[in-house]
Amino acid sequence: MNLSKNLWRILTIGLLCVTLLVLFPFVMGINLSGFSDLLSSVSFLPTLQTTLVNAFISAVILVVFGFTGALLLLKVPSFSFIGKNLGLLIIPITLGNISIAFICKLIWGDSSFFSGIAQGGQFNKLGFLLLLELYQFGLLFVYLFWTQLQNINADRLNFAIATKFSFYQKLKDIYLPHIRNLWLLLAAIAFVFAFYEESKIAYLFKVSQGTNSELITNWLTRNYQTNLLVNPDFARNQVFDASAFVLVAAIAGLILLFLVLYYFIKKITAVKLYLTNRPPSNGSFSLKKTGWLFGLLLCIVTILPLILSLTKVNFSLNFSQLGFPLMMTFIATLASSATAIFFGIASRLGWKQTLSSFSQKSLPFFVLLFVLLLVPPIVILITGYKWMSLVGYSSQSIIYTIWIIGHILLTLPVLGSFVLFNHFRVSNNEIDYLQVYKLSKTETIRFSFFKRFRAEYLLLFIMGYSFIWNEAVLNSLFSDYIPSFVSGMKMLITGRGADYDKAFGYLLVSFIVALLSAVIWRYIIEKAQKQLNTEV
Amino acid sequence: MYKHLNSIIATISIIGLLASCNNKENKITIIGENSSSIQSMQALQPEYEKSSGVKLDFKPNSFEDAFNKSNQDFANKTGLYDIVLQYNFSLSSFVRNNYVYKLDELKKESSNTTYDFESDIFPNVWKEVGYYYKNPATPNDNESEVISYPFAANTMMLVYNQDLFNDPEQKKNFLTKYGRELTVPADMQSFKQVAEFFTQPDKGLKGVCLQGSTGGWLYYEWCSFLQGFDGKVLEKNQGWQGNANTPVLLANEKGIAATEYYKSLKPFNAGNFVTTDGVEQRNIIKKGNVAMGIIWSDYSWGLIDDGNGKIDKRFAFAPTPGNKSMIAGGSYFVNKQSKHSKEAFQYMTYLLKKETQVQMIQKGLCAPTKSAYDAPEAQKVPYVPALKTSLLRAEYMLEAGPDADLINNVITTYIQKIWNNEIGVQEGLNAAKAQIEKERKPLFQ
Repeated sequence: MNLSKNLWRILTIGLLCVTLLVLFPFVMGINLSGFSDLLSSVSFLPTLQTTLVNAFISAVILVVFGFTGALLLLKVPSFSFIGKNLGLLIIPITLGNISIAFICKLIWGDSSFFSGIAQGGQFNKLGFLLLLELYQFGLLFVYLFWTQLQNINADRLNFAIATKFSFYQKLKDIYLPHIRNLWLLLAAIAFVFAFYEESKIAYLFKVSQGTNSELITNWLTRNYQTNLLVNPDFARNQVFDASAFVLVAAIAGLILLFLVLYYFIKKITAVKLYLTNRPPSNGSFSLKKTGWLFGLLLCIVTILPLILSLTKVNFSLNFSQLGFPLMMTFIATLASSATAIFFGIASRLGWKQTLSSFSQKSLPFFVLLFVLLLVPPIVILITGYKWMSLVGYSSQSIIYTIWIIGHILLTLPVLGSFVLFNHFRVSNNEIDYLQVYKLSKTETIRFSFFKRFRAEYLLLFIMGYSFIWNEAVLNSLFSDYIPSFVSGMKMLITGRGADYDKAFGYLLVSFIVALLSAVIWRYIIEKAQKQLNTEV
Repeated sequence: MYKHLNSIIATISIIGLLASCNNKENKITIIGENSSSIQSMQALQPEYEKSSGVKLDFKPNSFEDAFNKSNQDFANKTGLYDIVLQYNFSLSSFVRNNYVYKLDELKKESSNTTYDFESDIFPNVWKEVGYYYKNPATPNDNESEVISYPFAANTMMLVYNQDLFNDPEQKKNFLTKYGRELTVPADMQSFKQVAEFFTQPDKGLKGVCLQGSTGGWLYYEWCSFLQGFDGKVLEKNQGWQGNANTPVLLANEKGIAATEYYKSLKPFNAGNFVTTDGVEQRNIIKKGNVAMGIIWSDYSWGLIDDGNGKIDKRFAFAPTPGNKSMIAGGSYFVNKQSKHSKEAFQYMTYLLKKETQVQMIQKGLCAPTKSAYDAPEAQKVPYVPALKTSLLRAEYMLEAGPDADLINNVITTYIQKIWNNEIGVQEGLNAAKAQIEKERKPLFQ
């Protein structure tokens, strides 16, 4: 048994080490003496502080929004008309940063509302950015919380009804404990994406020190560009020093967020005092109605910007340039999803006790997993160039392979933690039971993981596809060999070659990918429903 | 599961095999910002490939990507790009770090014996975008040498909406109000007057659209106004010159006058200013509700070209107000790691021939050679006469040393604050000067 456990651990640690190896040139390039120059910079610390506060607030608001939205949808069953169409809520995340910024510009760019925000202060701009994040991530969070709440054991809910639990009691004793892990996972993801936000705010508001609107990623990129005019080595050294500082701050911020939310939820669920204990009023009809209306509203909010933007420019579909990257993204997503699933299974079986839920014990593991995600994108770009100079660009097959491996490693923190979170549902008792009955590894994996998490793995694939398609760093590095959607869009909406009509051709491909994801997801849900009906 | 796994592996292998059929033909790889400059080269690609037997592989990128990729390629000595199209602020870094061939080195290995087109290149432009210190380790302003040929000669021009300027009612009203004919402004005073006149909120009109965004837009445009007031940022004669002790002139009386003038245009300005870059300015001007703009010459093609081969005749061009224009543009840099430097040089000389230049002007290039502008086909491009006049009178104005981006950022920061009334003109320029003086010194060490 120990041998088996150690094997899983070795495999997991091995994968983590390979992932962290990416950062080797960065770690070797940090010069602690450079920190004093950094601290004397007039803009570095204030920008970092703004970024940290913004990321913290955004993360909290996004998970609260997601959870509240899911509670409003509580009475909407998964297999109802609205329930099945709620899969549309995954569309915004599949569109990605640059598409969302472009859609926003098309719809609102000429309005006095946008003008007021653009000319307003830092608070206005960050507030608007939060709105966009609510669209991009918040809707997905609503959906993920809602699907999670749908999985609550019927016996527990029936017990709550029989004993006339108030809504507060249900919230405290059933809903919150049930979604605690998801809450923490999504908060961490929201924090990281808000912390390293760059393209939306840069494109929409042309961030600058003069308007006090820069976030730390904008600061790092700007200073890197400035120092490149001295020479690339100088620029790299400067940005590595600053990035090391930023990385430490990001890790500290993430740990703080985790602890705050962890103890907040723990404290609420531990309280024995009930604010109200009145039996629920006969309001199930209105709750149901509210849920349906809210669900409908969310679907409209998701789709409306896409429809509005379709009316704004002339366009022609451009699959000729994007067909190849679409196919490559498919291959990379397959490889990344398979790796994340393998990682999720290996770590669940390797650290049975530690990785049974998000806790203080599992925190270091997740921080380690998230380190790659917390490294500033500019560092990944520079180390990417460094690695490529070592590996060489001798043949395109090598370039394609490295591109795929790069995506496997870069997506592992998000996809791996998503898988790991889902694998929390495999209880320790179940693992022990299977081991007692000496089931082979293959059988254990098949019964406890593959069969149970088919839908989650599909959602993982869809999210992975979106991340890789919209990824800006690695794709930019290789864009001369594998055309990048983000680099192409950026080129067509900014700079001397800007052409909105051509850009819209690109955007349309992104729309199709997003809608296709939603359609596939809906098909899976319907299939699951049919299967369930047959079993009944 | 295994069946699927096999299919995946098979697919990857096929892609790998197909990809490895990367033949080793005689090919030049060219990287640059996606712009009318590189697009005009792409337009002639089939013709050149057929006549020379050399394949051209263009890698148009966004400015940021092209800048990063070329710098990383140089620094890591990966030799991916044979020709790098970069702007004048990169020249200093490329030469100091010994990344690129000097023109003499390329000529030595070339079979060409005549370079007639050299006398046709705008001398002021070439000196600004293609020359550098002979000995960068001990720079001497009197000792410079040619490094590269320019691929584009850019400057800023005044663009105006002819429909508005030719409107009889507007002409009449202008005459009534100012006691003179409505003409295209040629000096600072009349520019402001015309901007003020065309600001007509009842008709939804604005006098001017200024570029106030970060990323160089504000800095370059503001420098154009500073030049109109005979001012300078640093005390020197070429953008690539200078050292840690070069005096910063920014906050002198000319700088203050130019900034006060610039800020006084605020009531007449269309757009959000701080978010207005060249693309947004172009989009605003295209709507037809703005009378004038100061526009980059290499953005002019995008303004008049409707994408279907037709010219938008609403817009006309003139040199910027004042008696000087700014020099910008970039050069062909040949990578020292290139295995095709000879072919790259051959290609550059082809591009600089008059007949090639004339064709490229018609595809949007701001050509660095003088005679091409006089060709009848070139004269049909609406901005060509104004562009030639501007380039002939153009002088150094924009920084191009290792401190260029720092100066750009600091000036942008303080002018935005001044524009937003967060700081006074004098106070803002003094603060900018102090920050530039402090932060530029380490960049020269």
